Amino acid sequence: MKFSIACLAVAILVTESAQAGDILDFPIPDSPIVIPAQSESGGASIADLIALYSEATGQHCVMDSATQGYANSTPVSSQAGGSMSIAPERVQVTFETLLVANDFVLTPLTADEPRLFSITSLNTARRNTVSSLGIFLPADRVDDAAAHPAILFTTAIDLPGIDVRNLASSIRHMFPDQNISQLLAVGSTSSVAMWGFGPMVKRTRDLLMTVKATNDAENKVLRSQRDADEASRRAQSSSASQARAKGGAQAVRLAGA
Amino acid sequence: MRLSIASSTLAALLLLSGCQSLGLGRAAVSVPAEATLGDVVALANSSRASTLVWERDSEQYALQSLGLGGPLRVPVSRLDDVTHALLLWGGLVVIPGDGQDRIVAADDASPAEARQVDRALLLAEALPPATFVMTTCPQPGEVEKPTHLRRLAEQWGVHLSGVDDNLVLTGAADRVTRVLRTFSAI
Repeated sequence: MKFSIACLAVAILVTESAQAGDILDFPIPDSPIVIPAQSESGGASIADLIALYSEATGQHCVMDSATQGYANSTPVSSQAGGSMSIAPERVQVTFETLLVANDFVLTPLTADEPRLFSITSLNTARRNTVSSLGIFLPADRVDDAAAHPAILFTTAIDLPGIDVRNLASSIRHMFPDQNISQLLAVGSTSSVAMWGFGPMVKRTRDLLMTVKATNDAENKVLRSQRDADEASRRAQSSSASQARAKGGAQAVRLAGA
Repeated sequence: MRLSIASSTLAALLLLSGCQSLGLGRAAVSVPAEATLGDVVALANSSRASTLVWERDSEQYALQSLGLGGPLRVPVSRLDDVTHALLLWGGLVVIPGDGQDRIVAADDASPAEARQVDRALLLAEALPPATFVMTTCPQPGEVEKPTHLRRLAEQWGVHLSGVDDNLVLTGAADRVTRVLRTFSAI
């Protein structure tokens, strides 16, 4: 009886945890969304875009008052002329692209209903603390980050055999604004930690893996050269000792004669 | 006998799950579009056993507008988590007390007041996200000094100190969990 109750409790816990959603699993709208065209009398602002997106995906946005001001006054910069229709499966990436192009950061706050996300303008004082919004992504999920240009991610990459301190300092110039992107060598380990917007994190991971692959290939060539040198040295030393042994035997024969 | 207990429990679970998926038996509260953080906390207080109180000097945060585009409907069962997520977004943490939790600006929270928790509890995401906690974890293998990890923890507003080969992390539960996950990847 006790055992059955324990099993039941475990089953309930498993069911509950299985229901917890993935924070990057954004709802896809049922139909395309249309951003109205810019006109002389004005057009869609970032605030309008957020409202369209929220309504279409059933999510709710929170913004501080400084960000609200920027969202209201910033026009969506992409569509001169006609209106813009976005296919349901492209809504998320397009929405994020338009946000980041206008200096806004998206942060999902909840993975379950009600789905909440926050928008932060990089033109406000929050720019200094925006890195605290970064979502940790394990190295094997970095590919998922590429589809989220307005979300900040943090990941750690292990690069055995690489001098990561040297590497981090040599590519530091690629991360000019440390509030939104950074690459850190972690002490004397072979790991680097980095944060930045999704596509940047993926590109940097790809670059680091290319460096590692090149380094591994060079090490392999060096190792095989060393092995070949060692083998040839061993062969030479063996033939020299054979020659010495042969010379010694001849001397003994001559002495005997 | 066992079989009948098991089958009736299974039936009850299925019924519960069915009702939940239909939205039955789930009370919900409505957060108005123009709500402030203070309004959400007031709603949470009216629907739960313990009470969230604003620490002096953090009351100004209560006036912070959420900028919601429209009203937000929150099931009562999710109200605690949603309130914590919003407090964390507003730069606040919750210091757990005896039936009365205090809301404090994250920058003003003293590590001495943090609730000590096992890191397994944090990794299981079993605590509301803004709960102010302290936990320990072993220093990742080849890291010579904890100072090398400090910058990484500070990124999430987590305070890091080192005691021998153990690290002490203090901050909001959600942020400390992110740091733990990063450290385990090193």
